[in-house]
Amino acid sequence: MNFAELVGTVVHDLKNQLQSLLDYEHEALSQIPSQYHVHIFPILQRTLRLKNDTMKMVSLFRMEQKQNLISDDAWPLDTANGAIEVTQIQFPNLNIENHIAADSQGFYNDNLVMLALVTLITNSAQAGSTKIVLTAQDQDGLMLKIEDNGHGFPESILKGEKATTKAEGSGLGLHFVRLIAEHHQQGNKKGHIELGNLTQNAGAFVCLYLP
Amino acid sequence: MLSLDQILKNKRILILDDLVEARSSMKKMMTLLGASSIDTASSGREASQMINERHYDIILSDYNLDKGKDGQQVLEEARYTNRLKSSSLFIMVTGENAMDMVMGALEYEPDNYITKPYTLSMLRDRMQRIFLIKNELSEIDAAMDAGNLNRAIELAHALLAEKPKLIMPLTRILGKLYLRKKDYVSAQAVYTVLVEQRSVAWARLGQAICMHFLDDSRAALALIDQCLLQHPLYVQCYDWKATILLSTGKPLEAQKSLEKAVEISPKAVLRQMELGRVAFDNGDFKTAEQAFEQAVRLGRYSCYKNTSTYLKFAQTVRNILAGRSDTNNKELRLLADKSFRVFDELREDYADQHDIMFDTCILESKTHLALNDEEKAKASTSLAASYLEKIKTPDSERELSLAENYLETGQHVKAQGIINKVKQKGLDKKLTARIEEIENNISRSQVRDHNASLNAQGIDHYSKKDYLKAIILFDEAAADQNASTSVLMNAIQAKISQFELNKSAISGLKDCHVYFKRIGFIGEADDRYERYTRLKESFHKHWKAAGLS
Repeated sequence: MNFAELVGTVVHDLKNQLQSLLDYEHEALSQIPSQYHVHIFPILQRTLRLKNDTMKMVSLFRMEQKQNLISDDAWPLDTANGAIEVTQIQFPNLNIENHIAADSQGFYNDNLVMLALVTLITNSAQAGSTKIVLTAQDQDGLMLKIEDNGHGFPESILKGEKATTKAEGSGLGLHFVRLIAEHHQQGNKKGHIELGNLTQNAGAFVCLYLP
Repeated sequence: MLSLDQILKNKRILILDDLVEARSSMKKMMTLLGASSIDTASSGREASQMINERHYDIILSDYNLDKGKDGQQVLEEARYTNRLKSSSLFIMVTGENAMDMVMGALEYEPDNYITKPYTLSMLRDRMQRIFLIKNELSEIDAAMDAGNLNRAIELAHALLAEKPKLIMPLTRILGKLYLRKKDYVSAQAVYTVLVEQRSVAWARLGQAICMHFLDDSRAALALIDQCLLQHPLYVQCYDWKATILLSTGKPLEAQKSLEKAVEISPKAVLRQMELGRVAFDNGDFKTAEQAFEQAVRLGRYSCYKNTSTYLKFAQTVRNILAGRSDTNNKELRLLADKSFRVFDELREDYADQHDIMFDTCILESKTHLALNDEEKAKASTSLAASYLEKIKTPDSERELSLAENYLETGQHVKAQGIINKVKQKGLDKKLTARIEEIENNISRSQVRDHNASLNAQGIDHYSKKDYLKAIILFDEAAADQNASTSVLMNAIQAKISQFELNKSAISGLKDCHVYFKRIGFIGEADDRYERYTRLKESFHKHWKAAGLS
């Protein structure tokens, strides 16, 4: 067995264990009276975060290995709902609106794009946003747009000089999202992202283009 | 949107997962979504049994199951045995790592899949989408169920024109239908349209298959290799690569490709059988033995259980043993034991099928012989002979197998006997070379001694006027094409004597006619001339009297 397979096996088990941990936590929440939920909730939040980190690690590893993560018909409404479900537990006070149409359709790897959305929502929340709006357009490829009401990106990021707004941030979040977008290729078209600020300092937006 | 709980309410559902947590979690979620009649299975074997016993509307199967069959095999068997209506849904539950294999199946693909991990709402969304698509395709499904392929193709094209977003599922259907109709030009066209828009591995494989059937195997192989670069785990590519390589006369390369496929996905019975066959023909008995053993093991509780796999395994083991002088070595003894267990299993399961029992005994004899146990080999050969007698119309191939086994166990006379019998039936040209080879190896002296003894016994019975017994013995001796003139004349004399005793024994007279022909011309100078003339005269007299001419 080579190194990559060995890592694959370990991570596979890690994912399974985290999934059943989550299942047990949900089970506990459904059995325990609601006044005690406050004790379980932090555990659930951190488990979810661990799971996301693991999923990120797996995806990075696969992309690094140049493994082709398969794309298929996918529906951004569902993908966004999945991302919202995860992040809403992390940030219960964040107001996330999903304005994506039910019949909006794309061709991408659902897991990867969901991770990208989770990363973007998390970034916004950590940068102080209280409201996030998700939209999509599916003419000639897919464009997923996420807008927040935070402080917007500083000039340095928009110019590509700096990668993060957070004091301890590594900037890996946006980089990860960019990698995911670029992993999606159709013929000579390659996925990419666009960053920008809304007018009148009303927040920032990120567009994810998937061919 | 469709109302999921309304749809699920009346559906019969089977959940298959080897992990108890995964099983109960899926069951709980499906119940929350509105399902009410759910069965669960913890192994592929159990699931296949359940699918055989009752109809399921939805099957949710994990792809990787611990032992025995995987979800893919459960799916293949269910389709192969027609246990899935096209209105049914087989949904594969899989991790990202098996996606290439799950989505790559062109012939036995699941209706849809769900990737792990998922939450309740993700499952809800996914099921909604699956039913929406199923609903869109329902008319096409109905046409396919009715066996009306042309109508299904027509409907699929119409739907594609109306709803281009359905290009993925519709291309799958159209490609499959055209391939089934052997319309490779049209199949290639639909795959190409999709590939031009999207990089879809299964459509590329589809293109390659069409190229192969349209006689451009080189381009097909190049395309498959290109596809494998991007999707190294796409096991069906290796299968097709092997098929194409075989057809272009490259069996060694074909074997390599199948070995790769088996390495990625070892649980498919048909794939192991194919590897076994190809390796056997390549003379790589070690690989063939392993592949056939897996095919036997995996096929035991499946619709692919097949005696020829068992026999091929035993034949391979025998070939390995026959090439070795150190058959007492532990490893080889263990190998031989595996064969003997296979024979036992065949005896248990197919006792009343004489042809299978015959084949079993023949191979058992050869295995004993390879282990230098001539006594047991002889016993198995005798057993084979007794089964051959029970077969109403034994084919010449089996008869020659028995002759070969007689030869191998030093029973030359019996071998000659069988050859004589086969020759009497009239020669099948395909068998000439095989017969010749057997005859070349038959020891003439053994046969001659035996025939001399038959002749002596015949004379003994003749002198006691027991003509019937004498005739049987002389006939047996005369069956040898090299029988001497005296044996033939003895046979003639016994037959004439019997005719004189019983005038209805006309067939005996006819035999005499044949024997005279074999004797040919005998001149006056010959010692046997006098006896010959006498016999000929009596024969002609009786021949005329019997109204024969």
